[in-house]
Amino acid sequence: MTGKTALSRAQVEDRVLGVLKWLVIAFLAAITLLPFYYMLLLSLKPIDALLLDPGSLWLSAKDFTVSTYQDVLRSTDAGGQGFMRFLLNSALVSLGTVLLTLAAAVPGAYAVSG
Amino acid sequence: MTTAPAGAQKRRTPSPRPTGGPGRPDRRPATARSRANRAGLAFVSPTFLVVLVVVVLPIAWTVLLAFQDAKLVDIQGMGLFGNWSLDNFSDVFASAGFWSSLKTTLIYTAGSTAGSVLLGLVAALSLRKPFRGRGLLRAAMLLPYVAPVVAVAFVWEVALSPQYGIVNDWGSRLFGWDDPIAFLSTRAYEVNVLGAHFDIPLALLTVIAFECWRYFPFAFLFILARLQAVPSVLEEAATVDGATPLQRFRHILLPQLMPVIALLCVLRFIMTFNKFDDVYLLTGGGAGTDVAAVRVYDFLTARYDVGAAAAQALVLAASLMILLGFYFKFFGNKVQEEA
Repeated sequence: MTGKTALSRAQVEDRVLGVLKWLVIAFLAAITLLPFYYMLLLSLKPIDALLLDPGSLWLSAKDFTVSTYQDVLRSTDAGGQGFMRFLLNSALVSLGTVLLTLAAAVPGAYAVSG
Repeated sequence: MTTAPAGAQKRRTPSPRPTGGPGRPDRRPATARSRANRAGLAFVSPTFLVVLVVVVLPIAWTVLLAFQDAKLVDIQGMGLFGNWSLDNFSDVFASAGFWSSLKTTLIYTAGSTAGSVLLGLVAALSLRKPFRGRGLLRAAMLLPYVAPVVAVAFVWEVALSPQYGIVNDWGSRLFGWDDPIAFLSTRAYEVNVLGAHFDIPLALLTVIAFECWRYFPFAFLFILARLQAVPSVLEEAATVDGATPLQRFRHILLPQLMPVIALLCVLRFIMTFNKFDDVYLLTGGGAGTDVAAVRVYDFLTARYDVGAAAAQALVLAASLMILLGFYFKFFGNKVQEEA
């Protein structure tokens, strides 16, 4: 016999949950942050670096590149993908949606709230 | 209701016409009330117009198309009425894969709803007590929900790829997977446990996992907000009475959270049942993940069969209504408590 009194149910639960809680928090942090870290990683290395070593979680200095960003942001005239144009389109669509929605909804809401 | 100018919904009995010749138009000066009434109608009309054009007419047209033999080529010259038939519906019910697709949709919806609400509940509970960096972590929880679906679906696709995906690479390194697993294109993955063979629908499970991952922040937000409104005295009293943490959760916290959980289940169920983009982006509806919404899209774009697509959409809406009817019959009071 150890001489220690047996742990009460509350103490056992406290300890188990205390450990479990940190495991859960670590798990949650991993599933929310890792995919976005991976996204960042993919954007900063050339495709052959990914194909050679698909499992690497770090970026070696010799692989580091921002050419992907340059290519995406350059306008189509300059041989890029013209992403700025798409961003502008998105901005126009969302702005127009907001304005039209407000224009339709505000008078109606005012009238109905009378 | 009486302070603001009279709204459109105010009705008044028309006052008798002032005396005048029967042929003459009504020249009576408008009263303040009728002017306000007219202004109210004018104010409502833009809203009404938008709802009519964007919501009512498309739905009405869908219903009409569902009962007609409509192909995309001859839809322009087609009259709205005429050639009514139930052919589309009998085709839809008899077509190969309809019932299996409905079953897939049900499994997908139930799995995603339960998973995302459960994960949200766990997340809200574990991030309840203050600790260093909690605010940052709470903000991080929202990332999957606010990120554009195209971006996150792409990341999942790359990460799960059998050729260059990080998951398979680490899986073979850590767990010794012999062959890379094609998560998104395996209809049935054979598992051997103690000599018994199981086929698990891997692609469907992956899509469900994606949906749980993407929408647990939604449940997390709702439940966290409700948790912050829980009075602490109840729990303190229970602690003093000797309740263990699990008992406090089961008997004090959970009953208070139940209404919001019921509401979340309804909302997630409706949204996931009609979900199209997530499944389509991840698998394109292949490998046993052909949920009903993707099937409707396939009918429309691959077969150009507008009528069948419309009929299928109506069947989808009807089955959702039936399921929700059951739900509200049994859990309706819980949901209404919160809403």
